[in-house]
Amino acid sequence: MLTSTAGTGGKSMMLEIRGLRKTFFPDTPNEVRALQGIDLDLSEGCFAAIIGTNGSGKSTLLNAVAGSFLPDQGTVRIDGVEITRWEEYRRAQYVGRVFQNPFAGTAAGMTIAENIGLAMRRGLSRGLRPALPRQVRDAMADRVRTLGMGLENRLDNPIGTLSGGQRQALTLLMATWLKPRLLLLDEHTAALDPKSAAQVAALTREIIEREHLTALMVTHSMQQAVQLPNRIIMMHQGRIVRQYSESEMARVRVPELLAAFDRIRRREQLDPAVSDILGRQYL
Amino acid sequence: MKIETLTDGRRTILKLDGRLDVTWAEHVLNSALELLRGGRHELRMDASGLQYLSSAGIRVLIRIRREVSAVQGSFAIVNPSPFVENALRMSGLGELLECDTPEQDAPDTGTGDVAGAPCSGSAVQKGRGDIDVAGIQVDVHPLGAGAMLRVQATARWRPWTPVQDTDVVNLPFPRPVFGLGIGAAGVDAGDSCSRFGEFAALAGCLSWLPAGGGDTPDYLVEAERFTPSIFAIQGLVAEGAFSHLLRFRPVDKTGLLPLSSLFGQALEVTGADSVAMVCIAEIEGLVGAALSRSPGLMTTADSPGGFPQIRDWMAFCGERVHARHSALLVAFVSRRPDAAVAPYLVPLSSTPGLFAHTHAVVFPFRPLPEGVIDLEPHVRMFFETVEPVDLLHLIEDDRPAVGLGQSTFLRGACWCAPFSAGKGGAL
Ligand SMILES: Nc1ncnc2c1ncn2[C@@H]1O[C@H](COP(=O)(O)OP(=O)(O)OP(=O)(O)O)[C@@H](O)[C@H]1O
Ligand SMILES: [Mg+2]
Repeated sequence: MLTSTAGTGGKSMMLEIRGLRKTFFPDTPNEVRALQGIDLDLSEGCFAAIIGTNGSGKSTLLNAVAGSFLPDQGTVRIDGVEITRWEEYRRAQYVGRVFQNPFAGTAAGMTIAENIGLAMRRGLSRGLRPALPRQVRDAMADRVRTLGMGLENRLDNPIGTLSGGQRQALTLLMATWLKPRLLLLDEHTAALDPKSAAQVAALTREIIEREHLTALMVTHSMQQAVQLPNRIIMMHQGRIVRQYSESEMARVRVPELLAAFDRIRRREQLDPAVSDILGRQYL
Repeated sequence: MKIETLTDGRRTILKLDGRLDVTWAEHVLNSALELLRGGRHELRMDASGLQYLSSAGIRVLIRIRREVSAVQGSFAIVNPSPFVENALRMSGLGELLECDTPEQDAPDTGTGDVAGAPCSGSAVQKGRGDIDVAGIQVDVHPLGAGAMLRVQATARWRPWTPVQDTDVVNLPFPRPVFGLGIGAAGVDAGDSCSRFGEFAALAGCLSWLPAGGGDTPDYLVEAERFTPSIFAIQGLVAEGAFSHLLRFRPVDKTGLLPLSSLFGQALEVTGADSVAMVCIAEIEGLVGAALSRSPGLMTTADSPGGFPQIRDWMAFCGERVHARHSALLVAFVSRRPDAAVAPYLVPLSSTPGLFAHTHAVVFPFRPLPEGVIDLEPHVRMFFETVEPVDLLHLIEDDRPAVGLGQSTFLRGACWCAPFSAGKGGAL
């Protein structure tokens, strides 16, 4: 008989974070404890959303995984390889990223084809830019066609001529072109109009499912959090305060997430004076 | 909870794995309704993996049966565990188990008419007094001269000592009994231990807030041969007859009844030092707290010794909550608490010399008729038409300047009587 162990289901771990800590401006009046001991495991093929209040450390967590800075403490492993001290460029072979700003992930002056060409050579030296052979261009067009935006006919247009939604869809495609072991999305639909945001959100799920990617997506949209991923991670003040497992996702709706945020807010209101009252009045 | 949908010819089998309680009830209902909408009218529910069934779950089963019979389909439960089978039989839903006979016209098991409120005195007596609190009109209706309640502390855990096996007592709450405390309903004491939270019980209805299970209270309602019971680690339980009914309402826009004034009224009209009461009231604002983590999970290394650890164990309302909702209150109040109950009553900071313990079950608002009304049908109406949204242990927030004060009410009905405290043990 097949039995699956709880949680991992026997799948291998694609991301393992242990005891991750990061404090900005330590020992100054501006000290910010952005990550206060994060433990997180993502099994292969898991798509997790990170939600949390402003400044709760969501972006910092993604940045720490991507290597934008070195953590003060803790370890990060991707696909079993410890990369905690690796330079950012070295991690790029493992990690695909899409940021909030549609203009951040692509070079505006270059054409769609040239931008994708760069993505295809990710991790290789930027100096090499041979002309694209015919069959590579055709393969490129085929994949761009899957976006359903007609961009396959505009491969030689500068990317700067596209709308934010189109650019973000292309950025997503480029970030996943080489099937990264881990895809990091930081509010990648937040700067788009609602219709484009919905389109890019749907595309995100489609690509992640089709390519069987492991992904971490920061979002402020509760709707996206309950609809897209198969796990939710809730952060507050540099900590993971609540997780919704794959089985819980079947029933979790927006009001429940809002209620969970409300609980977090109320937790803060239990201050030492209230603690004292409870000491006298709670039985 | 995991739901698997299997097709067996015309039949569709919903295989449930886990606990069918308030957390999952709606999801299970929606899954079944979705199948019906898709034309699958012959439904079976495979309960072999169903570990637990609460009244919220039973209500879902009734609802599914009703929807199925409206389309002349069939619905039955197959492979129930002994616990589930027993829960269904006790609730008068045994016929749902006869899996191979398509159902005909099975009527809903409503609870039907129940004569008289169990705790009310025999007859309404003449002579009612009217009392004024500022802005509030209180009408006093004597119910039974000399009526008394017997109160016992039946489970005696106190915060924050680690919970021992011997602290857990299974408390039944048949209709005439009411009470409050800390506990969880479940298959057995071990099963409940990770979910102990505040509870209140009255009129055959028991509601508790499973600690760590989100914010929604669960509940059990008496039906046919089923009596709600709870594995309690703390419990104040009352039985007997009520001596008075107080009806209160605002006479002007400023009229508010603070809980401590209601206590004062009850002590005054009964002329007693100790009063137990149940109350249905429209809320102006509640102030309270509830366990957010079960004391059953406490260890000497991990316990709520003080601040900030307390934040992991208790949730504080943070503001005055649930305005315009209805509350079902269970309260014990005393000027001179007997030693048997004294450990479970705390001094009110608003009213020196008064000791009390109050739990409130919060529901969406429902209006009450005027005048003398019976407790039981009105309490049951809440559980049968709407669901509890919160359950709080009420406190008085006396922090200087920022304090939230005490809970206040606009209008309602309060049944009360003097109580004498008995020794622990069975009633
Ligand atoms: N590079 C940095 N230098 C200094 N402080 C930083 C830096 N990055 C983040 N912080 C601080 O760390 C805390 C966490 O920030 P972070 O951007 O991770 O939050 P977030 O959860 O992504 O919030 P938002 O929802 O607003 O994007 C904040 O107080 C922020 O000001
Ligand atoms: Mg951010």
